[in-house]
Amino acid sequence: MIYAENILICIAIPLFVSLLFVRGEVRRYLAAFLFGMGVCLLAAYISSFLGDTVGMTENDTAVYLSPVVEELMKLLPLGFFTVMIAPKERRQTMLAVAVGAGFATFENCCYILTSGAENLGYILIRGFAVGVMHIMSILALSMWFLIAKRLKVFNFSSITVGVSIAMIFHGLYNLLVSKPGISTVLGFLMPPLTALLLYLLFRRLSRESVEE
Amino acid sequence: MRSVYDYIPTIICFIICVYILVSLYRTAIKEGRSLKLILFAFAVAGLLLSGLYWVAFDLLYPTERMPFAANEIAEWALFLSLAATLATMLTSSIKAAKWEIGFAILFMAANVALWIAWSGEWLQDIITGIVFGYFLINLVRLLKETEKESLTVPVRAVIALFCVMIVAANAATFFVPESLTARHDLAAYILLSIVEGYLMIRVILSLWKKSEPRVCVSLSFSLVAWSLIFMYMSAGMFYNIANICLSLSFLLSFFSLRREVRL
Repeated sequence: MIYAENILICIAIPLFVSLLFVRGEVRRYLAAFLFGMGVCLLAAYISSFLGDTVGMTENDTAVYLSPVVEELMKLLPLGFFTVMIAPKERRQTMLAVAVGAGFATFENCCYILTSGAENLGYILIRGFAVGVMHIMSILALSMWFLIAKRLKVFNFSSITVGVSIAMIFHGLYNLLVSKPGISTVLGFLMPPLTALLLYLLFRRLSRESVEE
Repeated sequence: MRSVYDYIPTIICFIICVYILVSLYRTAIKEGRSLKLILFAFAVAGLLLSGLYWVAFDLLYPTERMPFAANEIAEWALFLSLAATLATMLTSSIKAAKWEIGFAILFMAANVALWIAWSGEWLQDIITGIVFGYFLINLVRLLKETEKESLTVPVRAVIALFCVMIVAANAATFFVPESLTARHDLAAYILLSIVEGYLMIRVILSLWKKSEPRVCVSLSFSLVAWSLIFMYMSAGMFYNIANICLSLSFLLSFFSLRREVRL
């Protein structure tokens, strides 16, 4: 058992203090990063509670329930920024990346404390896979929100559809890495490949909007 | 352990989904930047990811029954995306098709009751029923708007009668003696197959004759809806057939939508 809230306090205090001495984009990034870490802790609490309530084992909760809860929790800060602050497109993307990075960082911290950090190779793979996966899922969601806003279809249906796709992407990753073997390799390859595809799509859309 | 044969419908589904997504990436999104196609792309992505999840689960945990998982949410996304695609094409008010909507809601409620009776998963089945029902409501509204060329009133009446008979045949399996269950199942499969075949032919003919795009879309989405109902009511070989029909219906819907956005 680990004391996740204590870990969060320990990591968040220096970041929180540094918020007082930075301005502009850096401050926004840091704040969103802290939001990401906070929602990660809340997601862990809610997943555990739901898992216990429906009688799932710890492994089943991590594989089946966590992706749903975590993506919903990541939606909260992103939805708050998008709806309440309505930032410019580039800033929204930056905030989404910060939330994803904060979430992945805190999750990795807890993972290292639970499972140890002796194997550098595995830690590197996990860092790239989980780190990229959390950032990709929320970045894709943020891109979809921007497209939906441009097309004037930013409503309940479009939000639900976007979050659902993020959930299944996350769920598929968790399922693949839940058992050792070839499936784990495929799972670890999934986030970097998705990042590449998303980058190509992002570049293409940006180029076309410049040409127009 | 399943054989490769059992995965053929899913593999066909993957090939079709990848073909549609690549086509959308290469041409449709660039030239059309159409909302309809983007929403449809989400539906296809939902189908593809849901299928991948199912295959991964089946290979990793072959002996376990899948609990509530993200693939069910992907299916809800699929229904919502399809409904949202149709919503962009609707022009008349909701009151114009009130009888059709009423029947769609009743039919979906009956389906939900059957799913719960089969699986015992209350929450998932009710939510699936709500989002599938929303898709059906938009579909019957579009069918009403295009009724002269798509499904005329007598045809819709016959399909409605078939729906009632299918629900009755499936519901009866819970009450009749076990010796008669197989006959009721077979009757339901025959009725489901007749409508599936009819809709498939109508969609292909409408595309072949280059009918009005909205007509092609309403018919092809009807085929999608029916294939889903067929799939959810089937098991074994019939499930595989329905799964292949669903993949084909998505391909035909893509061709219909491409015409609608004039690509």
